Amino acid sequence: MSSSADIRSRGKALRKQTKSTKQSMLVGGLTLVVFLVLWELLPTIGVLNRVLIPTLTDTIWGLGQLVSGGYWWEDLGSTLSSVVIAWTIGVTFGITMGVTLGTSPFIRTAITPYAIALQALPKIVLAPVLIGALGFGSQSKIAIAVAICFFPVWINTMVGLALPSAAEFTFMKSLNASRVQVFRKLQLPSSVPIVLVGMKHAMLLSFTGVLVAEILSSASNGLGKLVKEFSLQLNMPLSLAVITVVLTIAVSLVSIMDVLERKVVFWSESERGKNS
Amino acid sequence: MSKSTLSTTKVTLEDPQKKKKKFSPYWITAALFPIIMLTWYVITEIRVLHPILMPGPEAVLKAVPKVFGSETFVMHATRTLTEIVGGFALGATVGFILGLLLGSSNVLRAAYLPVLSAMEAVPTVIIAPLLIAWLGFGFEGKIVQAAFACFYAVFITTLSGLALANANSVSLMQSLGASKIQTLLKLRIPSALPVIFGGLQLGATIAIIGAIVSEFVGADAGLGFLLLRYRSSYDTPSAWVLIFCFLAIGIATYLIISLAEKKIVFWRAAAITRPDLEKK
Repeated sequence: MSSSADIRSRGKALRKQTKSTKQSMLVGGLTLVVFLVLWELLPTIGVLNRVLIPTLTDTIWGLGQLVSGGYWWEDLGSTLSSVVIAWTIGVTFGITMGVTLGTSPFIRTAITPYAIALQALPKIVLAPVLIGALGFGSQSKIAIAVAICFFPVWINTMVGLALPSAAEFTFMKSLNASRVQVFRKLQLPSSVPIVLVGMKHAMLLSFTGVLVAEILSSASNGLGKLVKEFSLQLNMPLSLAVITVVLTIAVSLVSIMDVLERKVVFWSESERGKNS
Repeated sequence: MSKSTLSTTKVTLEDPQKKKKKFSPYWITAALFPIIMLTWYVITEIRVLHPILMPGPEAVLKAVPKVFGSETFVMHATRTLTEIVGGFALGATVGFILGLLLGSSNVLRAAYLPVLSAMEAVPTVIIAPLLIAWLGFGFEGKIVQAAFACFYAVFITTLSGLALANANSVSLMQSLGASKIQTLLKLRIPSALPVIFGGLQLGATIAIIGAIVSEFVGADAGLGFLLLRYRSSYDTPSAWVLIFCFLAIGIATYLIISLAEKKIVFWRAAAITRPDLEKK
């Protein structure tokens, strides 16, 4: 079973190893300028349809209109609170399941086939059924997000608890450590870094789940609904403005998680560099 | 890596004498299945939820011939599979090429990695309504959505895999006068392959999700479209049949990629069967 969070953590490790030089900053800056100029120019001179792909200035104007309009704060609050609530529930649930099912190697082996099947199920297909069962409100949003986001936390907790090598377990045993001691002094410290990576991934999935629920169930509010409505009205500047807001929130949420991760697992920074 | 860690559980915390007496954990696996089915049956029998919302196993079984028998089912299934395969192929190709480009040039890597790696935080579903406005309700938008969702996993694993090549092997290649391309083809890509397959495995899962989500947002055909239609006509048993179809698609994809990995990265098969050797 491949733990997706393991792959997701690679970006940060790589970014840390990469040093930017004068040359690379020049290339990056030039690309950005070319991109922005093309974005402004192509719709203006008619190569791209300006109704469908608004120019840069149109988008900035849309962003201003969105922020100055009072209506969207409710949507923003609704999306953010649902994401955070769902994430909290999902993480709690995931860690609980991981610890209860993962501490014993026997049970872990027994349920692995089910875990693989659950991983293979694109859990987002449950969204319509959950909306049908729970209605259009924030409950169904949260339920969908929890259904999607608890999984990496669960798997990573199980993987993390099994991370110490056989020799380390034998060593603990030879020191006459109890089950609880093995868990607290060996399994827990080694699992925290990987559980945190799972929690970070869960944040993205929780956000995804909430957005899908909002796009799917037309009666609720939220940023997902805003994008859908604006796109249906072909009000593309505003649509792109909301997407910009979503991207900003998503990147900030993950950055916050990165900072937390650095603070909590200061000891494993070099370890992970070696493993990944 | 987690593949190995999960299966190492067999070696940990056991002493060899006990091992013979112990019965296999897979008996529990087998025993769990009827228990899960029974729980499902009991829950629906005592009507925790209205049967329209949560049908029992027998109702779902009864719906199977109806769903598979309908004339349009094959059309819808073909459509969804096309979107998944097309989106995955496109996304994986783009991700692989981007990974190669950034992996072979330090300048490009330092210039573009910060922007590209922000992709790991982005809930890609947000562009689904936009893609429908741009590309319509057909399969093109779904392919783009699936590709956009999954390219990052392949890109980042390719990039980090390329850095894995043993430094000694690289200098050996250089001392034999190998060109940059030869080093890439014969050393760096092969040593990156195990990691890349991890990315492909994850990417395929995400591509499936991308295709389904964009069908949910708006489509004129496909299994996701069909699922929404069954739901809105309160034919929930049929909707559950489709959910199991997606489970089957997910498992099949997982198995196909694992099989491809075993064939292509054959030298790693030994490490997988003896995960304890791999661990340091």
